[in-house]
Order: sequence, then structure tokens, then C-alpha cells
Amino acid sequence: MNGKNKSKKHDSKESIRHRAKILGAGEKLEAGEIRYKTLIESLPQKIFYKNKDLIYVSINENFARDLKIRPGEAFGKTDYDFFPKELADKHRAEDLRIMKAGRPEDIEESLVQEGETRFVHKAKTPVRDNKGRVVGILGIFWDITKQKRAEEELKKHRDHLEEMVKGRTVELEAKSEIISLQAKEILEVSTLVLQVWQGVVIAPLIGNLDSQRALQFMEKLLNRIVETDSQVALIDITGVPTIDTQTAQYLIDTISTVKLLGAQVILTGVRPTIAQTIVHLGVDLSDITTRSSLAAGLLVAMDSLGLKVSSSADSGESE
Amino acid sequence: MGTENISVVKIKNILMVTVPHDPDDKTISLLQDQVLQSMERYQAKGLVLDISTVETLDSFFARTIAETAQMVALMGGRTVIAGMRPNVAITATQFGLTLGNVKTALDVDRALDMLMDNF
Repeated sequence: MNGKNKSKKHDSKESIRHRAKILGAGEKLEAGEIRYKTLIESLPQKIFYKNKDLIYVSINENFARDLKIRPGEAFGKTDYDFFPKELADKHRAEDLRIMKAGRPEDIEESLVQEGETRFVHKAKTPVRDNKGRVVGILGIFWDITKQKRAEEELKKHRDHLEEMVKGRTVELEAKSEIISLQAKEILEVSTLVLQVWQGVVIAPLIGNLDSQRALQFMEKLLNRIVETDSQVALIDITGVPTIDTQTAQYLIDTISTVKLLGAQVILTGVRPTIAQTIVHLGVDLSDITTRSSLAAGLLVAMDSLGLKVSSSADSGESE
Repeated sequence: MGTENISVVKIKNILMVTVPHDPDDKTISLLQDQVLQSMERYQAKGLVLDISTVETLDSFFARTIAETAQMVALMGGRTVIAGMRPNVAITATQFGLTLGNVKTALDVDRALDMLMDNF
């Protein structure tokens, strides 16, 4: 009103004083209203107040700026003056509903402004007079597009992660399936007991021994010894990579059990590192026949069965 | 002193190794490794450990030698220690350093006889 160079606050104060003078309200009202108005204007939200006939009584600076008018110019107008018919109808229906229900309401809605979709949070409250009758509706609303976008991004991100987790879970389950199948196969292969000669069986051990495998091995070996009526059993540990006290104990137990069947046991395939480990662990295998290779063990077995290996050239035959 | 290379010699199916004069701990451990690897490689049935150049015997040496003999036994071989010097024998007894159940011989010749006899 007094020129665009002056600050807005100054501007409203002038208009308030102007209005107050017109209404004849006097100095007291002016001071109170200035403080109140300053509060309303400094809020970042947009505020309006319509009477019960849905006619705008006042709006704040922020809302006025949106509507491209001065705050004072809203007085006496309706939604139809500011918005397209459908939108105005919607707002008015909402206002009536809330005034009728008599309770404040929070609403989130989207609108298209200058080609862009924006999200708005509205809080509308029915206003009552001192007799409790609804005389109007107060609305506060603000733009929450940024938050909404962030929410959407987060949800998209989370959904994407969910998808990836699902995918990975399926992969892992498949791999897990393969691993357990392979473990079963290994268990099968590793408990092989072969009859290498009449009265001699060989049991090559592959991999590390756990309690399950040790038991399975022992059972298989004992059964085969009985089946083949063998006097000597060669247990080869070339394929056992590491030996600890537990494994050594399993071996000792197996050997003792075989001895109970009256069969002789020869432990073969004792490699340098295994020999060192056994001695360092303090395991006593002194009453067991041991050899570093299966071949050497076989010779011992042959010997104890009274068998001898000779080349056919010795006996004078030629082929 | 004593960080020379250890050479393990194979005579028929018996291994022989001469322990160097005044070996340090590293040499002694190396000796054990070499002996065991040779056992595996040659499938030997016996080992002659010649200690005729050794003048002092400490607990690490005694323990390692005893353990080596055990390891060789696990791999199917028999060990004979040959050529222990008189003063070494005295020191060993005085300090209670035993070489376990390992057999001993006066010299390498006798050690070889002992091992060959058994086959």
C-alpha cells in the first residue's frame, strides 16, 4: 500500500492500523493484533480461515503469495475465485464434512501445480464461538513433496533390496542343496573297503574323520573283514590331510576293535607331517604296525600270511 | 656354526645321516625334516644316525633325536644311533638325558650290521 520498498511487516502493520482505525478499535486492539499477525505471518505454513458459509475471512502471506494476491484481497472470496470448479467443489465438500463432524482432520492430497505433481498435508479444524456453535473453519497446510519423494525413494530402495535378498536366498538354497548332495557322495566314496588278496583287505581313508564317519568306517571295515574272512586289514591314511588327538583316538579304537576279530591291522600311508604330528601329540601307536606307504604295508601283510612275491623269470618260465 | 646342508645317504634300503659338528637348533630341526622326507621317498627300513662328530649334547638335541626315531618308527623304520663320544655319553647320563628306546651302536659299521641283520 505504501510502496514496494518497505518491508512486508511494515506493510501489514500499516494496513492493520488502517483497519483498526476504520473499525474504531483503538490502540489496545492494534497492539494485540500486531503481535498475533506477526506470529501467523512468520509461520512457514499456509493458513486460511473461512466462515461457516465457506467465505474466506483471512489468509496469511504465504497462502496469498501462492494465490498471487495480497492477503487482504481474499476477504469475501470463495474457493471458486481461486481454484477450478472441481477442485473448489472438493475443498468445500471437505470443509462442510469437517464442520459437520465437529472434529479436526488431517488430510494428505496430491495436486498438479505448473505441470508438477506435488503433495500437500492439510489440517482443518472447525472453529466454535463461546456458545460452542461452529462458526467457521481454520485450515493449515504445507508442501510435503520432498518428504513424500524421499519416502517413495526409500520404499523403492527397500523393495529392490527385498528382491535381491529373495534372489540370493534362492541361490543359496540351491547351493546348499548341492553341498549336501556332495557331502553325501563323499561319505559314500570315503568308506571303501577292498579285498586286495585272499585274506587281505585294504581300507583307504580319504579326508578328515568326524565321529559319524569314524563310526561308519569302523562298521564297514568290520563287516568286510567278516565277509571276506580276512586275517589282515590295511588302513591307509595317505588321504587324511590332518590328524588331531580325536582322529588318532578314532583310529586307535578302530584298530583295537578289529584286533578283537582276530585280524591283524597295519596302518599305512604315514607321511612325514603326520608322523611329526602324532609324536608331538604324544599319541602312542607303538603296539601297532605302521608303514609310510601302502606298498610297504602290503609286503608285511604278505609276509604274515606266509606269501612271497617273486617274478616269473625266477621260476625259469618265459612268456 | 653348524648350519651346513644335511645330506641323507641311501645304502640299499637303509638311510644314513651324519650329524654335523656343533649343530644349532635350526640344523637339528632341518635334519628331522630331511630324514622323514627321505624315509617317504626311499621307503627305507632303517636309519643310521651318526653322531661321531658331536661333542656336546643339549636337551633340545636329545629330545629331537628321540622324537625323530619315533617318527621313523611310525613310518616303518628302525633307528640306530652310532658313534656316541665317551664325554657325550657321560654328560647325557649325568643330566638324565635319555634317547628313549633308541638302539645305539659303537660305530656306523656295527649299526649297519644291526639293521641289515633284521631283514
